[in-house]
Amino acid sequence: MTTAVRVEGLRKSFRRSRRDGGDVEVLRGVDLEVDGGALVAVLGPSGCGKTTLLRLVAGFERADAGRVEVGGAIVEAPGVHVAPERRRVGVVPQEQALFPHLSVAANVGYGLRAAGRADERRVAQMLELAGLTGLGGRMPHEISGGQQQRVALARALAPAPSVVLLDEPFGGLDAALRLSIRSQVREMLRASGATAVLVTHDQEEALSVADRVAVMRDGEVVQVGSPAEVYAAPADLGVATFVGEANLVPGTARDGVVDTVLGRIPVADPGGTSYAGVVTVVVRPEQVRVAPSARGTATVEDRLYFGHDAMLRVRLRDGTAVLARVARGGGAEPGARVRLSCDGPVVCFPVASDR
Amino acid sequence: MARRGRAPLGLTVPAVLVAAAALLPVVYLGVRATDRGLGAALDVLLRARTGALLARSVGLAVAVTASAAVVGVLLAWLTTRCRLPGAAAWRVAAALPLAIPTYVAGFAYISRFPGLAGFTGAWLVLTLYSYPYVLLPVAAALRGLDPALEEVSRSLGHGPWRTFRSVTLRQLRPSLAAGSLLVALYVFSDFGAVSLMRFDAFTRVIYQSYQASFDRTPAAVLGCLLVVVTVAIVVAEGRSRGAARYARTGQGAARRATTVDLGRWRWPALAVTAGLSALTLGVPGLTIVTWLSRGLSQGGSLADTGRAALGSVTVATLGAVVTVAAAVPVALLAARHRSPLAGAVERASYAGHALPGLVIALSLVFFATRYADPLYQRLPLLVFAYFVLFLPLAVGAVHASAVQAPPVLDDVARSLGSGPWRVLRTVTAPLTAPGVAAGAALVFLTCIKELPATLLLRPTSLQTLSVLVWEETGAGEYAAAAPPAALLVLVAAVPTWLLTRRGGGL
Repeated sequence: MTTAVRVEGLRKSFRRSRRDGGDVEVLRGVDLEVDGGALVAVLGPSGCGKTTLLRLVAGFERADAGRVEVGGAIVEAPGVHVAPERRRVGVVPQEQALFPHLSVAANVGYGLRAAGRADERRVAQMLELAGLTGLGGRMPHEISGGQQQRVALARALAPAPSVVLLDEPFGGLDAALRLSIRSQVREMLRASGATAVLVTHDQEEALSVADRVAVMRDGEVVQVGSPAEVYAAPADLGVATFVGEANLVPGTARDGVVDTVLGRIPVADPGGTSYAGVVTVVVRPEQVRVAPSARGTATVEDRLYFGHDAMLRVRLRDGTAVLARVARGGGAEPGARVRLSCDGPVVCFPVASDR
Repeated sequence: MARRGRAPLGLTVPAVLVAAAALLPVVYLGVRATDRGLGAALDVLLRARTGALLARSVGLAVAVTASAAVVGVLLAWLTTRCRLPGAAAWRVAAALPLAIPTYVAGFAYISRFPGLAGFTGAWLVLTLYSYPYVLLPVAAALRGLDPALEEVSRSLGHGPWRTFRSVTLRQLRPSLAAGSLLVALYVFSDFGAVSLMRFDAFTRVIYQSYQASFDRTPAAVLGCLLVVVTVAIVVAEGRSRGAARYARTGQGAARRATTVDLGRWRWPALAVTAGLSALTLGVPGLTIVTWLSRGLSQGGSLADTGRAALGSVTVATLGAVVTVAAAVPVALLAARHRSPLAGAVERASYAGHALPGLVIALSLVFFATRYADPLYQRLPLLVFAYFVLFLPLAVGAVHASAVQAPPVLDDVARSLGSGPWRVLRTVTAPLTAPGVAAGAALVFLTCIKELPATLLLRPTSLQTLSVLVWEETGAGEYAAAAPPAALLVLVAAVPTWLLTRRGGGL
């Protein structure tokens, strides 16, 4: 498999306003590889530099240091800055930015005309891919938000770029729409065989849409992996708490098991770095088993009902609060006494290991 | 939607050159004012008469700006957002006063109502003929306003009036501020109305002092004082705009604005609109027609008028093309790259309009006779004067429309394979074209109306309508002044009509 995008040691600082003085280092040496045909989500809290990374790959900003390769060609390196129009990098901005003076078809065909191949068949093909057949003559303000989103993606895909960059593509859409648009966008990307990088702060979105997730924090990529890897084997406590919900429980580890208030749990050890001693244990809510028991020492404090399942907040005798995801109807009423146990394996980190 | 990072040199260099050129007459005026030493200049400046003159001029500017803002916003709202009977015609009528020169209007009013002479007449005429500077940008902003904002306000429990004040008016603030600034500058620059109404504002006094003596110091010093006043206005305007940005923040493209059904209130609204047009168009129209019929019945000739018309169109077209072309880099820089340099360039471009055409012309006459004699009373010098005078109009219009093309559209276009030039041609230009066209029309109209600079700088062989009206009026030949005055109004009205009918950028 070829590498569509390779980012190495990318750095970027912005000058603060003159009054404050000094620079803000937004990217502190970012490394990232995106395989051809992959859909990679760059996941991070707002301000972590993910949008800046995207703008550097697109060529809208110049890097201070590091390199960017797109489709095997170096587009950004010390002394090298390929103009955005020569990078073959498609962009779908957060606000979509459809050209308001052009029809839907003209928006989609814009990049084709730039390349000197005004191909109506390709436009029609892209409109079909976007499920917009027959709407080519409409103006951007005459179609719905979801349709505008698809037009923006079709426009970016039309010239068959090496990679498409999507900046918070589902940010402004309501939840019901978001789910359907998400799968439509995924299908459009799959059907066109495009490589895509999407930037998001929504971990659920990143885990559900992407093949690979790159977690960014404070201007660095701290972990790259499949959604399952990132979720099951977070690189550190920060990633563990940012990607998905997590109970952090103190424990004592030795010989591949850890003793906690939830009992003795096997330790997942994919990297072979087994800790001994006092650790913080990451217990996902769905790993917590709740058994109603009159002799239980824990009390259910609250229940959030989601339909397909429910989340319980359980208070242990020592005061620790634990979140537990329970199957529909499988939980207990608030106030009930319960006994907790844990399905292993779990990940643990030495106390004060990071962050 | 200004961008971080540095503006491209291809934009900065032309913009700085334009700003420098626009500042040339002002700077040279300063040089000339202190030609006979700082003492002589201070002597003029510290006279009690100068203080009284300043107070009179400022008072007039404040009064006119306030009334023009009220009239402009009211008419903009009535003609764009309300279902008035004959709305399209009223939209044209409301913008038309822009086409009528103040010396034509002033003549019409003073000849019919001699009692208006003084402050009242100057205030009335300047308000009636300058409010379109507020109306046009505010109407454009009203049309471009996202109706969702008003709907949100209504849904938050604010009534229509409160919504208008707290949402609509707030959104209109940039265009209202820009328009009001233009009105204030217009008042300070006006020569026709104040001289005919015999109100001793800056321009009239400067003109008299230039006529009265060979000493150029008083005229130059008072001209410099005017620059100080205008710079103060421009700085105040910049502060009032502050850090507020008015780009849409939501997703996708905006819907079109909705119109309001006034119900019973549409008849009073219609009366206001019609009454104003009677004052701005009816009174001068009637006066001109009266003199015209009197002149034609006595067998007057129209040959002079034809020659003058050709001259006017020639110089105004040159002036509009040169000025708008020069305005584009300045406006793009100011709209897209917020930086101290961009702000300085934009402010510099405003300085020219602050000076009355008379003072610009004087400065250029001084300059040409000393350094560039071959240019004296040649077309390039006149076109240069128009460029200096009317650059603010063009920059304002282009700036307002540049906001319609946010930088993110450039980014997308670039990523789709368009080089900077193609982006300009296919994205930036189409989106800003309405504003650029509006700017060109505005400059063209204003060049045609322009009197003092044309009077002083035109080639001796070239006659224009404005100069012909002025000369014949000065000679008391009202019947002979009527044909060029009528033509002046018509020639200037046609582009206004076209632009307003298309409803695009204006």
